Amino acid sequence: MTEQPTAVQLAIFNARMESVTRRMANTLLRTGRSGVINTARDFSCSLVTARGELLSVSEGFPIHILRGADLMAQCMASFHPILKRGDAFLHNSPYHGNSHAADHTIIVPVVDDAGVHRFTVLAKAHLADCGNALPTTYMGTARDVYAEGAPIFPATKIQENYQHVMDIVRLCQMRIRVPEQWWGDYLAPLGAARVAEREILKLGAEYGWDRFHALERAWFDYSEARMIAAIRKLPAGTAVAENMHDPFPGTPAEGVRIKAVVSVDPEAARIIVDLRDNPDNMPCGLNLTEGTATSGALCGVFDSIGPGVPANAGSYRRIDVRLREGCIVGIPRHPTSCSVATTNLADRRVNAVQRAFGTLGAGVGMADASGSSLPPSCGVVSGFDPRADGAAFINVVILGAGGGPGTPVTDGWLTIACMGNVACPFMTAWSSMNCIAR
Amino acid sequence: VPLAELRARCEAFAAGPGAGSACTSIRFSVEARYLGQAWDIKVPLPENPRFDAEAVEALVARFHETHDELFAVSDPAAVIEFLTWSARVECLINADDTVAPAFRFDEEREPTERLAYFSGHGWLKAAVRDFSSLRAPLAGPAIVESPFTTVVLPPDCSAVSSPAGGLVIKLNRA
Repeated sequence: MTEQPTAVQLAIFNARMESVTRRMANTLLRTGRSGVINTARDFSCSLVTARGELLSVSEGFPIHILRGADLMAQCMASFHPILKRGDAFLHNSPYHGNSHAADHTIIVPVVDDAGVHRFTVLAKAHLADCGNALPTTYMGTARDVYAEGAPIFPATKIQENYQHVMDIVRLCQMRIRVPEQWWGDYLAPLGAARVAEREILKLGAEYGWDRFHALERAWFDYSEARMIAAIRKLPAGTAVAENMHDPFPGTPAEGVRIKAVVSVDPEAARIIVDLRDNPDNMPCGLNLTEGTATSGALCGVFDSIGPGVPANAGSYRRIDVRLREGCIVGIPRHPTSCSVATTNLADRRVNAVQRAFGTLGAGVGMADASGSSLPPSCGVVSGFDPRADGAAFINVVILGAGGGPGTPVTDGWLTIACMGNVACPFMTAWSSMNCIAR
Repeated sequence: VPLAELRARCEAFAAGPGAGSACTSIRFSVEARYLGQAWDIKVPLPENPRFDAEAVEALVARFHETHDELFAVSDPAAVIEFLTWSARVECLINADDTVAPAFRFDEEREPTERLAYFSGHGWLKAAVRDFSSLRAPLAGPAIVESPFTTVVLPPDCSAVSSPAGGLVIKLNRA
């Protein structure tokens, strides 16, 4: 029998979880070999309960983490019913919870001394290259996953008993450009996940697992209560907002119109974001994945409700994101290409959701974020360096770009680094933007 | 040799500003990374660093170990870049670190009292004490003065000076 945690115990528990994700992010940043990891921070770290619920996330792109870590952890547990300490899994499958094929996620199940799976930790990093047919991680014109070319790993075991599964390592070395760089960028998220595993095992030993799980439950309940309080302050109603993506090979000549229907019921303290009335999957790389479709909708919600609501499975109990299978901003059917699932339509859809909120009443929501999703200051550069005997190089360059949205009380931010969704660059900037808005 | 030069500079510091220290130590370290990384880690070096084959092998092993301790992975086949060599000299002024620092007024001040306003209580007579003369526990309302700071004790607190030179305040709240 464990006592109900006090507010102070809960705050300490949350701070300790956040310190684990910070250590993970620090590991990724400091050990990554390519600039997209060690400078641009295109990565995310998440902690998920053994039941597959998102508990805590590091500062990072909301499109990476609001939803997806939970789906991938659930996928790992269903594909590998027997999880052992020392296992690690490589996951980049857009059809099983991941964002897009260029984001390689290392998943480590945290298994206690008795062999019980207690927790799951995930570290995801955008690779400089993922083995696409062309040297880019954004295959916008690919008609399907076969044309993309990247090998897909749906929670594939890559470590057993803390030893690399060399069959998978060799496969990656043969299929991903600049293999020595890939190797370092594989070790970076692996280290991040192993650092978290060490910390969670220590915390489990200190708290005792029953107490640890009781704290998880209490943190979810607290987060739900904060979400209820936030929704009660919103105006009631249903609003619709649309947003256009420019025409692109594989889309209709007029482009892609994205529609979001947002319903707020303050009395029941519920929000529904309905994205089902949107076009079917298209033969190009713009299709969203279940992870990015849901994350973007949640992002629009969190942009609109104000600060102070932790983003986790507890606060999500009050948000119902409705997606349709085979929809361009829904759940893609294999072999639909989702190569560019984290930016273009993801941005358009975040805009539509937060602008729908904006029409519900004064002081709520945000404007459209202008600016392109992938401006010329972001891109993949590759080639052969004549200064280094023609050695191959490839990297994703992410430089700042303008385009933050206006809020009810501020103008749009012109200097925001917009990569990873114009509306919500990083968790910190995102929270401070909300703070300003309130 | 740069390390010899660093040692000479440390020794000069110890003999100059550090003269008369209770004890002096010089420690060497190097900041290094795997080729391709953008951030370095600090790896301690032995007391008298050498660069023969055996010593270099030990240093390489120490780098992999440190990387593993910090980041839970190492890459034994990778090339290591050793970038910044440094030396740190420490001169301990006081061998016994439990001795309180001598934060004293030039002349010890007499205990007195002063009228002070405390929120929720109004104007109260507060005892005013010199930090360095504080021996018995002091009950609020009170003011503890020292050359570097002033500590105000509300009525529901009491304070006692600690052996290390601090002030331990107890909140006597319900």
